[in-house]
Order: sequence, then structure tokens, then C-alpha cells
Amino acid sequence: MQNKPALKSWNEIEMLISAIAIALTLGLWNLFASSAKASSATSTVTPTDPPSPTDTPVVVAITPSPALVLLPGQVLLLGGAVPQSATQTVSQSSASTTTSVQSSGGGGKRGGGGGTVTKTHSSHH
Amino acid sequence: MIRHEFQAMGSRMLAAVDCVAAEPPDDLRDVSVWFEEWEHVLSRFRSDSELCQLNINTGIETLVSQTLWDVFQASLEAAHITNGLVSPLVLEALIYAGYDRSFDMMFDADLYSLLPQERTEIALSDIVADVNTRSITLPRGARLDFGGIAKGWAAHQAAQGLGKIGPALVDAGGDIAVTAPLLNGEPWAIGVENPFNRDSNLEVIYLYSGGVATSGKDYHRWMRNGTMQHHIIDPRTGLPAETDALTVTVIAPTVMEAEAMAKFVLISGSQIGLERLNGDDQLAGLIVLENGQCLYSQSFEKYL
Repeated sequence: MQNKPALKSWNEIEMLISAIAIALTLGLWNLFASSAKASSATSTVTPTDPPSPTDTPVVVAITPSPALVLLPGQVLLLGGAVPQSATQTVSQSSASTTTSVQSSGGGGKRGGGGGTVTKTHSSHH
Repeated sequence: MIRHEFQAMGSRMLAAVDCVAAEPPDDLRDVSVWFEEWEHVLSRFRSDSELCQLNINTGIETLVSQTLWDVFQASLEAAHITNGLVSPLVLEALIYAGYDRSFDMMFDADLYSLLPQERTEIALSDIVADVNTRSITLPRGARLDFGGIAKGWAAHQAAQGLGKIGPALVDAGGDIAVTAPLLNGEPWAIGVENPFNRDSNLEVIYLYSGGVATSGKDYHRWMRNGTMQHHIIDPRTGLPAETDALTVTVIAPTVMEAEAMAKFVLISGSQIGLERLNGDDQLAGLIVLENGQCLYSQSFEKYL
């Protein structure tokens, strides 16, 4: 049986001690460093404010609506049916008159609606 | 002319007096206070109003204020001249149709599940009113809602109060009372709003005195169970009136009569409505149909 070879010199002993020291240092370093990292991860969590609306500006593009141009004689209908030029009165009385709603109107015989004090309209009650 | 505009009863109000004073008279400034007081009595949207308290006390004889008594009497008169088509007892039907809160707060579909599913039949004659004690006893299940009659009454009262200063006009959300011609003898010019284009007038009427009111289903409509609803209830069916009229404007000796008759014509439809207007020379009216047609009563022209 062959004997274990003996260390040849003091230099080899120093190298061995240095290697052990370095390995021990690195192992302990890793051990403590990782635990410190874990504890710092739990302790540094602090609530943060949600980003304010001004942090993320929203840009809305406004598309201009096309201009409405009415030709002479053209009537803009905002509701109801097409006005009838010749209308059938519902009333049994011949003295009642019938006309149709125009998109703009008013007036009367005394000079138009520009000088009205107020106007009557339906409302919720 | 001095004008005072303010908000009350959920509507824009206008009080105008034709006088030579440089500063608005105190009474004109006080009109908004009057309306606030009347609203506190008559509103069904304010739980602390006297009307709401009366509606809670069903089955109990309740002493009421002069204001509530007067408006109650006005509502009975409106029911009388409209053969019962204008009634203060349509509140349950209004709620059933979905009009259970101020219109600004509507369209919350979840709340519709809380609405009553059945309506009860209660007649005006079931209400006990004692003029001596000024008390009202509502039968169980009955609740009053004066609706447009309250606005018309308020406009009339305010105009009468301002009439001491000078010729006055009070517009309570479209119900307009006029006390007398302007100081120069001219009539007041009042527009009739075009329901298809609210920025324009269909006509301009000239009123020396009396009242004018418009009733319509054009302003407030909402969907319920897939059906279009509006706030003009036909007491005969308890449902929103089925009518060919979209809006009805009536001129009458008083704004309360104008308000009641406008609603009568709207509920009755154009044919019956026009016959009624033509049969009374104190009344004049303009009916705008759903299809845009305008029907004028015989005497309407004298106001143009």
C-alpha cells in the first residue's frame, strides 16, 4: 500500500491555507449577503401613490364635423315628417287652419319673433 | 321693463314688470322667495314638503296650509273642466311609468325594479275635503301630485302680486300669466317654441292679458320594458297617453285654465281637442302633431 504523499514545502502549506481561507470567506459572504438581501426586500416595500392623471396625459383628437350647407329652397328637417305642402285638416271645422312645422319659424303678423319677452314650451311637471 | 330670472320648481322662471322705476322693485326681487316657499309646500320631490307629509298621512284627516288648499282646489277645478282627464291622482301611474324622481335623476335602470307592479283605482270623490277646518283626508293608497297645475297656480299668484307694481308677466317654465297690457297699450309678445328646433319659435302670440301654457310629450321620454314612456298620464288607462299630438299650446283667461286645457287636448288627441277648443270662444290653441303638422283653432289667429 502506497503512503499518502507528504507536503513538499511550506509554500504548499501556505497555498492550501489560502485556498481554504478564500473558500470560507466566499461561502460566509454568500450566506450573509443573501439573508441581508431578503430582509431588505421586505423592509423597503413602501406604498406608492398611484400616478396622477397628469402623469399620463391623454390626447383626444377632435374631428371637426362637416359644415352643413343648405342650398336655396332646401329645408333642414330636425324631426317629424317631411312638411306637406297641401295638408288635410284633422278638425271637422273648416275654420281651423293647418300648416306644418318649419325648422325655423315664428313671426306672426306684427313683425317677427325678435322682440318676444319669453316663450311657452312644454316641460316636465 | 324690469326682468328677474331665477330657477325654481325644476324650471327656469321669469318675472317681468313694465314700470318706470330705475331699480327693481322689492316685490320683483321677492318673487323667487315666493316660489321657494310654494315649492316647499307643493313639491313631491322634497320629502319635507307639506304635500309629501299629506301623502304619508293617508287615512288621517290632515289640516293643510292655505297654499296647499288653494292648489288642491285648483286641481279639482282642472279635473272638472277637463272631464277628469287632468287629475292630481295620477302619481301612482307616473311612478309606475318610471317617473319616480326628479327628471335629472332618472335613467337608473336598477331602480325600476323597486317600482310598484299594480295600480289602484282611486277616484277624486274618495278624497274628503272640509272647507271649514281646511283639512284633507286622503283614502289609503292615494297620493296627490299637482304637477303642472302647481306651476300654473304659482305663475298666476306671482303675476297677481306683481300686478300692483305695473303690468306683469310671470313665466313658470312655460306656463305664462299676464296681468295687463304694457304701459304703452301694446300686448306682450310671447314665442311658441318649435318642438323640433328649440332655438326657434313656431309662432309669436300677442297677449294683452290672460294665460298661455304648453303641454307636450316632447321634452321627457324614457324607455321602460322596451316601450317609450312619457309623463302625460291618461287617467282612464293609468298609462302614458296614446295621442297623435306632440305639443299643445292653449291661450285661456287664466294660466291654470290654459295649463289644464293644454293637457286635456294633448291626452284627448287632435280631433277631440280641436273640437273642444273651437267650441269655447275663450280658448285658442295650436296643436303640433307627431308628424310635424300644425293645427290651429279658429280663434288662434286673433293672437297672431
